[in-house]
Amino acid sequence: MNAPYKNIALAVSFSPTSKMLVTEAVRLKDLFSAKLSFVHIGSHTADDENKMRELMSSTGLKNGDVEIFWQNGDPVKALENVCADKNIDLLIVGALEEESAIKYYLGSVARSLMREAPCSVLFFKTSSLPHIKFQQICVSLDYSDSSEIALRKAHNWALCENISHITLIREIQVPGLAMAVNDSGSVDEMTDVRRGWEKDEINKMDFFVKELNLTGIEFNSVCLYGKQGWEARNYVDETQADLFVINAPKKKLGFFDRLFPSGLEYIVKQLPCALLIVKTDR
Amino acid sequence: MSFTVIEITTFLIILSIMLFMARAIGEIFRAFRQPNVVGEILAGIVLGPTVLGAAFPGVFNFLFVKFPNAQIALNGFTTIAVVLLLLVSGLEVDLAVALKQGKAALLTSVMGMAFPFILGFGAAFIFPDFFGIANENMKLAFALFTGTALSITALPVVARTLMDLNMFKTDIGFLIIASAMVNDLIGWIIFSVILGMIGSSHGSIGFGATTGLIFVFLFFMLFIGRKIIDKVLPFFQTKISYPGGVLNFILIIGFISAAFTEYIGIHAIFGAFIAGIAIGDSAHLKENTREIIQQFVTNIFAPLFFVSIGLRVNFIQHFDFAVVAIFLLLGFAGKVIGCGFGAYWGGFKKNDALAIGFGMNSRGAMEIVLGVLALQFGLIQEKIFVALVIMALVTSISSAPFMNYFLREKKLHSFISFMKLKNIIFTKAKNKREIVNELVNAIKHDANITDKHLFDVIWEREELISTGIGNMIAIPHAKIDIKNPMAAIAVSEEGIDFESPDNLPVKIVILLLTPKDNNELQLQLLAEIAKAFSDVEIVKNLTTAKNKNEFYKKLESRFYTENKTTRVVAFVENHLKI
Repeated sequence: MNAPYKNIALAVSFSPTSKMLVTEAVRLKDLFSAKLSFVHIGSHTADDENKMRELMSSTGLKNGDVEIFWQNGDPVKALENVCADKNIDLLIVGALEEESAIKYYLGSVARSLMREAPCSVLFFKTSSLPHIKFQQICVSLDYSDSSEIALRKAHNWALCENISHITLIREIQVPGLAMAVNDSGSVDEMTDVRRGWEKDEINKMDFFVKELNLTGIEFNSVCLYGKQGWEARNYVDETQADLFVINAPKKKLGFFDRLFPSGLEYIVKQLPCALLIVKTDR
Repeated sequence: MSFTVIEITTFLIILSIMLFMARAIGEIFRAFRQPNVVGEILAGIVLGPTVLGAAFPGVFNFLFVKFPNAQIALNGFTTIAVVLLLLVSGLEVDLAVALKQGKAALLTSVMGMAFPFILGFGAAFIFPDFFGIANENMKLAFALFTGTALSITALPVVARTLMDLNMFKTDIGFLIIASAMVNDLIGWIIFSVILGMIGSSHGSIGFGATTGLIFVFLFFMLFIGRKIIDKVLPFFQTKISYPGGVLNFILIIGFISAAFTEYIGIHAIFGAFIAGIAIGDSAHLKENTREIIQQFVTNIFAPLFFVSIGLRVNFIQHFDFAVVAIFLLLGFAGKVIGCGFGAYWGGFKKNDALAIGFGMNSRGAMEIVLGVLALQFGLIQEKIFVALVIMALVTSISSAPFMNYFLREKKLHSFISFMKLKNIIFTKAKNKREIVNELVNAIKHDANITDKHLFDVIWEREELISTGIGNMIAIPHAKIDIKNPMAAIAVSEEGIDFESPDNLPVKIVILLLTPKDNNELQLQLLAEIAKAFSDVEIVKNLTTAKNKNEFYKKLESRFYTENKTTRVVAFVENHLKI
């Protein structure tokens, strides 16, 4: 079985949740037989060294088990640089469950990383730590090549965790549908049209998975009608999934995307569970 | 003031007659796949001075002239109707969708507004008398209005047309909807500024103050109000009885906004429209709520408003052929060229861009609302109003056929439309490899690819996992360097082992080739084929065909359920051997 990631880094900040994040990172390191590094952005004093040692010993890590990088400057840039230089393929970050309005509009470290990190990023919802293992994985699909890579990663991850099935989510929304039907149609027509679309999408998802020839895991397909990102976020939340996998957005999201949110923005604004954003180039 | 029994009775009779006529004629139009609104306007013309007034003046006078109080009540009712109509129009505007479409949507909507606007503004400013200006002192406002009237697009008609053409869930569909949304928003902002201009000339607050207030209101509703609504909507939806609570909340916000814009000198409908956008943007607004409010407005209030239009004006008396012709000419040219070029520069092909231009040309209800307000404000004369209504009707009716014509190539993305009769073979092949080889031979000329290479690509995929999908069907497939999808079918009477999940021998093998760069198209076609052969009896019935023609006819019946246009395209292609 192929592990999805081989070179993991954890952003360490000595916050109250750091110990739980380290525990999670160590679990994933062992699960994937991967290399683990810690990245700390900020001061590098004797006191910081002590804190790091304490953190390591409290989670059973010995010297040499992990490589530690002490960095200065802008946190996003510094993390990006370490990931790029050290060939990291998965960066783990702790994220608050819900962002404040100011942070939301101005962009926090976690949000910037989602868009700009050179590798895949795993965000832990700090309130839901610690994990023993992931039990239920959901993957958002858009049939793109990046989506295929995200699904393969999720599949490998599920095999490592010994999970029996993955839920695939496809969201569709056609603005103006209610208007089109009401102008000269009926409610039944609208329901039929929507059900037809949903059925088509389920069929397409089934073929998509079949084409990838992913074995050893069962796939459930779910098609949700409504605002993109929002529906998937709520579904993941309601079904109490613990890992939500999506592929990284093609374009960088800007201020206007936050003003009129869509897709990823809804998920980021209020994380339903741990979120894995898969970068396709690594 | 109180109403007499006869006034109330007349008012109620008027309402029932209007609703009956709107539904009756609307249904006739619906049967011909035309928008209901066209039928509703015609119902008004029949009930109004144009037909009923001319044929039975006594009846007309009794219903619509004799009791002024009943008319006042009717006016109040139609005002509420138009406010609600704009509120639900706003609900459907999704600015995030518009933003997502990016450059192409922006270019299409901006060009599609600017070009007809300049044409209309220029023509009305240079020849105001020809266009029948109502008040010489309002030349600028009149020219601005004419420009706006030509540049508006009606989202409901566009949406319906896309649905009928099965183009809703396509890149073109999304672009048209997004552009129409932006167009609607900008159009109403310009029009509200014009109304502010007229209001200021009538001595209320100054033009500068009105315009300033319009933008303050817009900013507040779209940025702050929208966020507040998003926060409180879940409370109304979950804590107060559903759907009463949330419907109440939506109407309260809509009416307060409408009252505010009416107070500052622009019309109430602008406030309702912007309130609609602010409410509709909330992800918390349930689809079901949206549908309920749409249903009661479009089926009860909107028909009353549209029927009332025909009651206001005599369409024969005020019909001016030259004005109607000029409006139609400027309207078509402005929208089709403007939007067409916008879409073309936004990266769409020529035919797609033209289809987008004609799609955006439908003006429908929005044009009529605009005309009614301009008439009420004394900005235009009846002959311009009549021309606007006719332009709205003609552009709405003509939109679908024109789009259909220019999108005929796009329709080739339905399996049966590219499945050619000549690519059907009856085979005696004994195994998978032989049958795939025969199919490759049948299609290699169309694909313009060497048979060896084509076979290798298909076989590589086949070896990964069998393409036998069950029900005696297999769909070997590959993505190759072609522009449009293509297919060939082999029919085996004996049946071949394809390692299908149900272990049944495969009797129909469909070779499917799709363009390399379109992942979704391949999935869409695979799903379409699987759906068409969802029962093994269907396949058994198909294999009883004695020849290609019979097989093709049976095949057609599996894929054609409603889309007649695709059928015509496929028929012409097969019979002309294109």
